[in-house]
Amino acid sequence: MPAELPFKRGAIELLILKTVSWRPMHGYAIAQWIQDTTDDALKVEEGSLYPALHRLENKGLIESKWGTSENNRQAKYYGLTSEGRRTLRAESESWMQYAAAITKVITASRQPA
Amino acid sequence: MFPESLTRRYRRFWGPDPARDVNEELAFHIEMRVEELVRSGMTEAEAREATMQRFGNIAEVRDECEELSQERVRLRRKADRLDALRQDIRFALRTFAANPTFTLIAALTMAVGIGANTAVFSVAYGVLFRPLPYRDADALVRLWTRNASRGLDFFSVSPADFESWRAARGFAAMAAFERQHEATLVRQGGSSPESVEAATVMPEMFSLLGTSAYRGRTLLPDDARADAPKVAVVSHELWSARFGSSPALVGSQLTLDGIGVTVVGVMPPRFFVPGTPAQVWTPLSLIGASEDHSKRYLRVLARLAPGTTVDAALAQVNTVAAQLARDYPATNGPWTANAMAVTEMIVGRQFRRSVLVLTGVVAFVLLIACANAANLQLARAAARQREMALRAALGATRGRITRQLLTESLLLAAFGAVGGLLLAVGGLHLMRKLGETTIPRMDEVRLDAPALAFTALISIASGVLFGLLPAVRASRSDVAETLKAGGRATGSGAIGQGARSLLVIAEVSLSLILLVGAGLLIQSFLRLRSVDMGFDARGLTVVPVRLPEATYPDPERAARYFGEALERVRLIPGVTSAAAVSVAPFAGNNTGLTYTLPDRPLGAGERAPDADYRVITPGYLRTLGLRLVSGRDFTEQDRAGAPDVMLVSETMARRTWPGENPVGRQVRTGDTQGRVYTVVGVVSDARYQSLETPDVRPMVYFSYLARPEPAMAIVARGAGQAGWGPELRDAIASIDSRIPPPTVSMMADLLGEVMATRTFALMLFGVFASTALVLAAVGIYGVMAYLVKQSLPEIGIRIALGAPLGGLVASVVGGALRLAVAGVAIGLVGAWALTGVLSALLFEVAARDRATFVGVSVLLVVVAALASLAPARRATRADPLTVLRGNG
Repeated sequence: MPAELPFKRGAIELLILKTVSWRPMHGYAIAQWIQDTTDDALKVEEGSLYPALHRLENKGLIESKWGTSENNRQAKYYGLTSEGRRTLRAESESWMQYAAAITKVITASRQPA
Repeated sequence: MFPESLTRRYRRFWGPDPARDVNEELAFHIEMRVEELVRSGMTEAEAREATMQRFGNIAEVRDECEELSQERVRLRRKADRLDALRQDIRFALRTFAANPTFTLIAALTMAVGIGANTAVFSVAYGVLFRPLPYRDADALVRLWTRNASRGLDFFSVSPADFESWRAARGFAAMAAFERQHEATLVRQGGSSPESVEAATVMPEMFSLLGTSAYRGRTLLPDDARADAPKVAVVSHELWSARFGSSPALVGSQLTLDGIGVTVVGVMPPRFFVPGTPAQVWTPLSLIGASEDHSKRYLRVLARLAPGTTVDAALAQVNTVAAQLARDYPATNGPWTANAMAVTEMIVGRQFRRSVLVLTGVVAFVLLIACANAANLQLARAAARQREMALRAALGATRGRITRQLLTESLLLAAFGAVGGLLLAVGGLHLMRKLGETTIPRMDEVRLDAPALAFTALISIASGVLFGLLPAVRASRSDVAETLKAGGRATGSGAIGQGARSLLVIAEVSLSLILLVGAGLLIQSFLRLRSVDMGFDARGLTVVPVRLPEATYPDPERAARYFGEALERVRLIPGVTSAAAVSVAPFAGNNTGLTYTLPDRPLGAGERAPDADYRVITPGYLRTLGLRLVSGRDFTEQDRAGAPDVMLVSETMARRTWPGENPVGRQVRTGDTQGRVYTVVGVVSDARYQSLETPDVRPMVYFSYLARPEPAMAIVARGAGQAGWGPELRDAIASIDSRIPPPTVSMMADLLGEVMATRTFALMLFGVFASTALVLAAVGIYGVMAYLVKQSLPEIGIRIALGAPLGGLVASVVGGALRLAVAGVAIGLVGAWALTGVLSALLFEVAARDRATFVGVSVLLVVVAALASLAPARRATRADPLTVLRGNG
């Protein structure tokens, strides 16, 4: 199960950054969007989502504002800062390199000498 | 980026509330999830349970988020504060750049005040307050004998008297030493001889002072025993300067005046025996010392018993002295005792007072500087009234405006402090250079941490002081009214005007006091310089030479040495005449004697009079430029074995044989048993010791060839200035390699040293007074310029109506003069009350010298008029149209 892989913790922050890069969203929408996009393969746990959001905000990668949700309720919306956009670009890059490297190894067809 | 709801914004007004925000955020999430689950067919209760289960430990999540939020709030607050500060500083710097003249004057004003303060505080600290290198230095006293009838207040003590004094109560210890002498030092292995100041000291002195050795040991009582090995202790300064701080010095052998001694210890840095500059100490024993109470040659230090005052202890010694006077009326009759605390002795009563006066003077200058800075800020605050009003109208709080102004003032004070520090370093360097030879402990003066702290304190305090006034005023101003008035003067300006005028009056009066002080000192200085010394100091060189007894045991050989030296000196090109004298003017301690007249016996109870004496070689009178009034000079024939003859000074002649010719009269030295000398000539008076005493002391001269001395000073007169100093030194050094090369001094330099304390005080006072004058002028200029600017509309109208320009100038200058006169009046009263403290530094000038008071007052009024001329001229150039339109 992918959610139990060791890079899970760092991964959620990268996922959040990517998610809010489309437009500002509240926490629930972020969780939903990740779940929908991965066809329910990644189920974001609230227990790690919210602390991650606050951590990212403290780092200045995202910023929050209170707004009115689609069902007319008060919700805290998170949007990407320019600093966050830069981080997202850099982190995506290194994630993909990492993933590619892992993929190469586990799909290798040549036997070790 | 997002629309922010009104309620939340309203709540935000009271500051962020992280706990509530986190709760609401999580509650929203839960509601959404529950709704979704209900939509997918669960009952409300099921949905809620499933949600909570999925959430896990919600309390933990909430706490973590809350903590993170709190941290964020803290970070943001800090960033906001830093941001505001940066903004304030940026704004202040922009304001400064827009008003470079104001900034420069204000910062310079502060720099002068702070710089002067730091420098003088450093001197005051280094000289007055820095602890002496002794245990409980306040309990140390120096004791002297005193003979009021002969005007001797601080005279040495005889060993016989000293032994009796030691029994006096009130002392924990008492020890004696002998006056230092220039000793010839030869190192182990035989090096070329060097001169050092050496003194014999009772070993008890070291435990009395309570200072332990830095290396090795101090002298111990056993070292003074006749059969003990010869030992010496040296100063840290001698050790480091001459022996390169070599650890091998302790235990090594030196030859001191031809006698081998073992160095047993080095004293710590800065240690000295109070009352002698000696750098080498050898043990002094009083065993076998003369029992004659009149042989007064010991110097005495004592440590007071705990709880005893100097006066009480002195009373105890005086009781002993009174008993001695009864027991030995011939030798101790008129003699009492005298005492002074060592701390006071080292710093000197007069110098302590000078430094305190100086500190007061500096405080004055700082006050003026602060007044000026406050004045400038006030004027500027008035000019910026519109800006402040605008900012207030745009929502700047009073606190925000105050903070902005405070930032500006503190920044300005910081500039001032940095400038002041530079000034202090430079000033201190200058003071050290000027005072190093004459001001006690000057070489120890450093720009040190306490002085720096002092500077910082003053700069910050004055920054707050003169920054707050305008801030208070600015925040008090009426926004609407100021804006309506379009930035021109408003009625409320009157308050600031009054304050500014008061500040200027205060500046003028403080400057007047300083200028009066400077004026008095300058007059004293000039009068002192014109004192007739009786000889011509120009082109006169002095070379003291001491022949150690071990090397020159008999007078004949010493006489040959000096004869040879004089011959060689006279051969130096440029030297016109040379001679030798036992103690040259202003180049050593006085020598005196008592005398009687064989043809005029003393009456009952009458005491023998005293005179100063010098031993001279033929040609001395010509070399110094003294006149032979009558009779003859000494010749080579006035030697031992020939009839005993002497020369007397005019004052001596007048005092002893008024209206008669002294030539041929006889004088007996001492009371009854002394030699009888016949006066063969009368010589014009010369000053040998002090420029300041009104009367010249009576003087008698003996012939060197008849009455030799081991230490003589060679005096040489030449056409050139200092050109042949080195040749003189080499010529004398070449006679005997066992004698260290002598020190050559110009008489002009020796006189300069006599005047140095005075020159020092005068220079500092002069600098401060002129600084004060400039500051006061700047203050007057600032106020008048501001006044003119404020009343330009009125002036414009008057010019438009045809008012004569002369009248305008007169009214502006007149306004300045009113302030100046008020300041002068107050200052005169202050000066009248305060100049008394200067009297110790004055010479032939009254502390309330009328001419000085009047002259300085006139000077200040003239300066005030001049300072107001520029603003006055600007008023006359006012274009009525421009100023009436309100853009003036």
